[in-house]
Amino acid sequence: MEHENVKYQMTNAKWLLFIFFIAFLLRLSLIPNPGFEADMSFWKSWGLATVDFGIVEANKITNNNYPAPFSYILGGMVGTYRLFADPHNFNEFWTNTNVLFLAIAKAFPIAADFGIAGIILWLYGYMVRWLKNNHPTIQPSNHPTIPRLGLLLASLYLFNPVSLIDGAWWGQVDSAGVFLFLLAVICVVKQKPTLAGVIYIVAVMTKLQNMIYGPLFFLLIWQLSGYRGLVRSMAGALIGFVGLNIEFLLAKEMSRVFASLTENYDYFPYASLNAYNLWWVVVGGEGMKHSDKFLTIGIINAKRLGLYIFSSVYALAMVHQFSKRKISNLQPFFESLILVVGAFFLFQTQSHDRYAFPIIVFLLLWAALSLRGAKSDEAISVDNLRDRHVPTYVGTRDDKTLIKFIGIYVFFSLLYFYNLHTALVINYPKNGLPILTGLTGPAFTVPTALVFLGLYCAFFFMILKRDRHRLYAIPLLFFLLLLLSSNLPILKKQPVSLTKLTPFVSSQDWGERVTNMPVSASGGSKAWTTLSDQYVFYKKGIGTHANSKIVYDINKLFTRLETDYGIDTEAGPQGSVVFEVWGDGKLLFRSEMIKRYDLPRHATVDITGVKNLELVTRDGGNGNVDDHTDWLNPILIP
Amino acid sequence: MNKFEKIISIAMLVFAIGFNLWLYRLEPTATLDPNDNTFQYALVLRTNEVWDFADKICPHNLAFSICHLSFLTDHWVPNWAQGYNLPFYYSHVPQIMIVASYRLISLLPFTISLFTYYHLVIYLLLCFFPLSVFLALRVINPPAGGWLAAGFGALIATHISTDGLYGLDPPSFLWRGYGLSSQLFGMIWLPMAIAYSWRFLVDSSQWTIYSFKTFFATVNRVLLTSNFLLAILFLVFTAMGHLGLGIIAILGVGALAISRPVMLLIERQPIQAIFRDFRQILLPLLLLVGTTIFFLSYWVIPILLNNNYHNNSFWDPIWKFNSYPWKETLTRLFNGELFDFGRFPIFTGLVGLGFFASLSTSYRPFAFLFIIYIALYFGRTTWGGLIDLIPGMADFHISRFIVGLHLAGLFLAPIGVAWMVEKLSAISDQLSATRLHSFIRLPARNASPARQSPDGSSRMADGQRVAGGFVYLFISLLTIATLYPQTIRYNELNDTLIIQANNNYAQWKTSETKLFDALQKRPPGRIYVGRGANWGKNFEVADVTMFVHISTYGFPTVLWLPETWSPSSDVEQYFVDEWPEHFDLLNLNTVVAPPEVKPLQFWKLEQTDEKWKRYSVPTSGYFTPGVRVATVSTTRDTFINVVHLWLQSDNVKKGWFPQLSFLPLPVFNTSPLPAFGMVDETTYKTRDNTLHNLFAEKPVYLSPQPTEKRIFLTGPESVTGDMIFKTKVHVPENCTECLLILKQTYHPNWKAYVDSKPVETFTVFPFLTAIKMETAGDYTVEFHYEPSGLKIFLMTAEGLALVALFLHFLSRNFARKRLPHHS
Repeated sequence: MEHENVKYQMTNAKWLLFIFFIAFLLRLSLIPNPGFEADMSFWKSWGLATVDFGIVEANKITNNNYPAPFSYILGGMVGTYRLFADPHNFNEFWTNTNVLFLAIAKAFPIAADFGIAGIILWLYGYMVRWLKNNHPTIQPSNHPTIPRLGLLLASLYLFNPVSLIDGAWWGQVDSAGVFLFLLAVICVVKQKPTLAGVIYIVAVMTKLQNMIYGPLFFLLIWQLSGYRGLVRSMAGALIGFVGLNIEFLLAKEMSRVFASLTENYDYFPYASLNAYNLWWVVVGGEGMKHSDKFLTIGIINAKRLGLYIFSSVYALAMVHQFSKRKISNLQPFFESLILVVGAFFLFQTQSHDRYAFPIIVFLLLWAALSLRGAKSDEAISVDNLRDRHVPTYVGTRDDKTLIKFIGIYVFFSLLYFYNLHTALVINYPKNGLPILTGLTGPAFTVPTALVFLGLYCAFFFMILKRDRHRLYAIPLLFFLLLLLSSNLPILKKQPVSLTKLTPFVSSQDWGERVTNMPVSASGGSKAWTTLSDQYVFYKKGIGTHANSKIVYDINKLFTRLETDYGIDTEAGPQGSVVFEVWGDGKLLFRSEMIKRYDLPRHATVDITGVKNLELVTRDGGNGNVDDHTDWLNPILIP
Repeated sequence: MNKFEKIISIAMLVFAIGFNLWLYRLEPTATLDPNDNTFQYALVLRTNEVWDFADKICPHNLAFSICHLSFLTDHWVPNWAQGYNLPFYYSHVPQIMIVASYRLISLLPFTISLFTYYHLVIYLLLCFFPLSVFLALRVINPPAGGWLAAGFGALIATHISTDGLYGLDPPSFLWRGYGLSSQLFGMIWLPMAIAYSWRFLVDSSQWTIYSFKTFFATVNRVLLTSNFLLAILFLVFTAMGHLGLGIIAILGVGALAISRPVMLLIERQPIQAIFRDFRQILLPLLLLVGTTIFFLSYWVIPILLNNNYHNNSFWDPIWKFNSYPWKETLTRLFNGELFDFGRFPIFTGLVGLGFFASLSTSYRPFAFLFIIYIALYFGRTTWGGLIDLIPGMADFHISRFIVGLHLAGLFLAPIGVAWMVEKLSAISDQLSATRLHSFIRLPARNASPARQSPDGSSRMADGQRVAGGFVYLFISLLTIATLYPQTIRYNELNDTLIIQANNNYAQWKTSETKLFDALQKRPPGRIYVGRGANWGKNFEVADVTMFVHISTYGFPTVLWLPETWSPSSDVEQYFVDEWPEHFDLLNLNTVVAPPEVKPLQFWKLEQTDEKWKRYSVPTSGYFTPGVRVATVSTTRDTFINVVHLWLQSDNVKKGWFPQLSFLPLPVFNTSPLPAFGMVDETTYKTRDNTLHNLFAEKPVYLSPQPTEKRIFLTGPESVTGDMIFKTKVHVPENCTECLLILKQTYHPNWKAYVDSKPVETFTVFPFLTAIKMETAGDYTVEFHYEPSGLKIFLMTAEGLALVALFLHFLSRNFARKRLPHHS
């Protein structure tokens, strides 16, 4: 028996080495591919700036919109490159076939790929060790598929075309983000909450999307380690945050750090950034050609609706994990993560094609933990691993379920690979597979999105059906309440302040459009003042600056626009402007010339049947100096 | 035992106070103020005047004290914006206490001006703030050397640094800063208010209340516990010193109370236990808040009932009411700019340490306090309308939650240091077997085996305490070395500026005395000394604009600054300098201008000095006749623009005054006059329920008189203490809708008497007080500002309650003392 075990382990080790070796060779062969060239160029630029000017200055002088400490990685890439070649040799450094840089840049995600495979094996091994200790009758030799399943799951990841295209091919660090997050989860399982907090923050600073796991992650810590663990993990997170940003902190430039964490919100204001999701379907496969500010249900625009759905699903995921507080197992945690990542990818507008990447990992981990018997509570759990609960089912696992899972997983992976590949080749046709390069039209992409939605719904309803928890009604009610409260004025046929809508076009020659304050308020809180025109004060309105153009989708819901307008009191004496209102490209109203010391004027504009409402201010022929234009108390009458 | 700790900690306290006394020694030598102290001192001076006024007017019988106190707590302040009853809304107890103590020390054989005395008081309040923090920390008694932690708290108390965020940092109070002396009156009690409230809430955690009987027994028992009484005392004092800080304190107490059930929830206690705890904490919380509000009710309830007559200025910066967005606040926190602006963020670091240390110990409520205050500081900018669910937030300067944040920091930093010492102590215990032991052994909260041994244990414990004391001393020295230089640097320029301003003012003194003498003799009326938007901006007395300076000394001015008090303050900004009717409307019968300013045609030169010229302007005095031409229904926030249009039209010249009412429009449906209601700042609704825009269709005002008729002022006019205005009038025949207008901001506390008979007062544009007089004849008319009857009633009730409580206390103590004899 002993001999058989040793033999068996050795076989596994050989298999493991073989798999890793082949996976490594595969990745090695992909390194010379230029990948997503724009990102590579940005990384070179930001990394070189970090090496040349230091991290703080580099973040200020470049358009780096990654979490600020990520520049350490970028600086590390260029720093390593500098050991072998001169990054200031522009011809060499900037060429998109700079294999040395590609190798250095891709080494990080490639290493993370193997790290993730290792974590899958570890988690599975952890479970098997527990089985051996607690169920001597269930030995690997009796159930050969059990340990080999770990290898299978790791292989599914390592040979997954998604992991290949994202890291070794494309050069993105999604795998690194997931790997670090999983390391943090392992620390939670190992009862090291402080370290878990630190690593989680490192994960967030490496890949900002990890931020969305925060509430679930800390809920898990609370479930497994209690209040003290939670406090320690928060302290760890703070230490990590301060430590990673220490240079910014000492330079009093934390505003740059917070900007890097928040400026991506509304950075690409489109329906979908090549993510084949709900919005991709809604806009007929042209996600990057449509703003996400079009109205959907009543006066709720797509972006907000997406946010509502995502928030509600997130609330449900929290409830799902919370409702398992007594057995506090990892299985619902990974289920919740899949729900959340899926909702983030499928329902949020501005979703990136790569946002679903973590699902391919979380599904495998979920599978590793979901060897289930008759009841969901009998799943292999952390509690089980800590010997509190002894499952009685393991030998009864249905191999058909496993095969079914693998089938669906592979299907999903191939489809998602297609999504990523299409996103790559529409930008860089030469970097993809010739066979797929032609299949980028909506005829292919929209059905793919529908399949994603179908798979997600199936997963979603499987969980709902399985658990049937009464608390699940809370997020649903929350969602309905959000829909209702946002549309209350429309339902009651009351006027709606235009300030409640978000334009899909907003351009002006100076400053930024400001709601309920004049344009100078865009300079920061110290400049915040009330809207006023020649000292006539208004609480609501839009502060802008000629020449400006603001376009709203009002979806033919209104008949009249009532607004005052004028030049704000804050403006200097030279202000002179003309105000215009356009509807679907037709001029509906034009004011006479308005000057700085004029009192506000009033306009009533018929907008019946108008879909796109456009507010324009033009300088009065003397240039746009002092043209701080205000749309004052603009209301839409249904 | 811990004598050594006590000595060190008291030395720290003495050093902290002594340092302040030395550093800020020039503060009380200032001879004029360039900041908010001009406003504060004016209130003190006015209280002093009203003291004399009340002496004269109150009947010298049993009711004298109540009458006198009622005037001190509720009187008219004529200095700015057509006058306002500031003490009705604003802090007044500090002014009363200053004036009372000043009058007391005036009996002593030395002289000191009220101005200097006032500055001495605020100087001492600032310097002794470390004492307040010290005492508060003694009450909460942090782990590992509670005395030393208190000493450390005292050392850092006055060394917070921000970029002028109106917090507990010295620039809020110093001469070159904001001069927020009113905040000092509140903050001196604030730490103790929180500390005693926390202590009381902790003590009350074991209460069990099953029935009414046990409820009342508990309340009776609790009412006289020292922690409860002290908590109430300091909460009330804080609120009386500064209502805003009082609100911050009360919300803080709420945060401390709910922290317990919240923590139980986080600790995964059964839901029944959490609810039980919540029920248990509810009574102590209600007792604390309820009793505090009871003692403030004479002030708070009348405010709530008269909140319409309190302006939220459109001119105020938005951040003041709405506070800063979360991102900006967190950026400041992590940049160290909420506690350590312009220096290495050691204070911030200690607050962070204290935050997590608190969460790991029984001091969790203080971490919770920090979370609540920072969440509130995120303000309306972050939370939107949600924050208005907290009562009172609509009128509150939410940015002032920085004070709460600083206060929480002042608790957390010493807790953090204490925790650090405790942890070092634990390490020291582990090293006890090594030779290092004798050098770095530190006091442990839990006695080590060595301390527990009967032989020599006290020596060891004392040795640990001494070592612990030295660690504290080391940390303190490090902190002083980091924090103090910045404080000193800030103050260097402060001293220079005080000396410079004093010298400049000395050069002005002769001219000022001459001017003030002349102004004292002018007929009753207001003084125009320019405004911020014209020559008034540069008409300065030692860097202080003249319109600010003279208002400090009780001369009524206009256009000082738009400010959040009088409803007239926003609308008076629409004053047109060139229009004589505007001078008349505001009774600006005197102009003081720099010699180089070209006088307007209707100014008549009266007196010349090398630094100023004085002119007289013809006005009708504090009364003017008018006719009511419409009724405008509005809210507090929607009349500004309609008044603006009225003021800058010929209506003023014609004497056409619309009535301004906070009643809804339908109330005026039967009135023969035009009536409309403001829906928002520029939209109004007419009786036919149609909406109109002020700038598309100007409102209709219509005189009801076929031929213009007016009341004649037959005088003479007299003014007593700016509280009683008296004149004689003649009302002609058929004087329909004729008005007699007093040029003072309307408030329900203005009572009008026509031939000694009370008549109804109401508001007319811009926001003045008026009565209707239609019956022909000759009359004597008086307007009196009378303290609110409700306020007097509540004050009396509170006084009686205090007496009852005191008697109960005495009787119980008496009974206790008698017990041993019986036993």
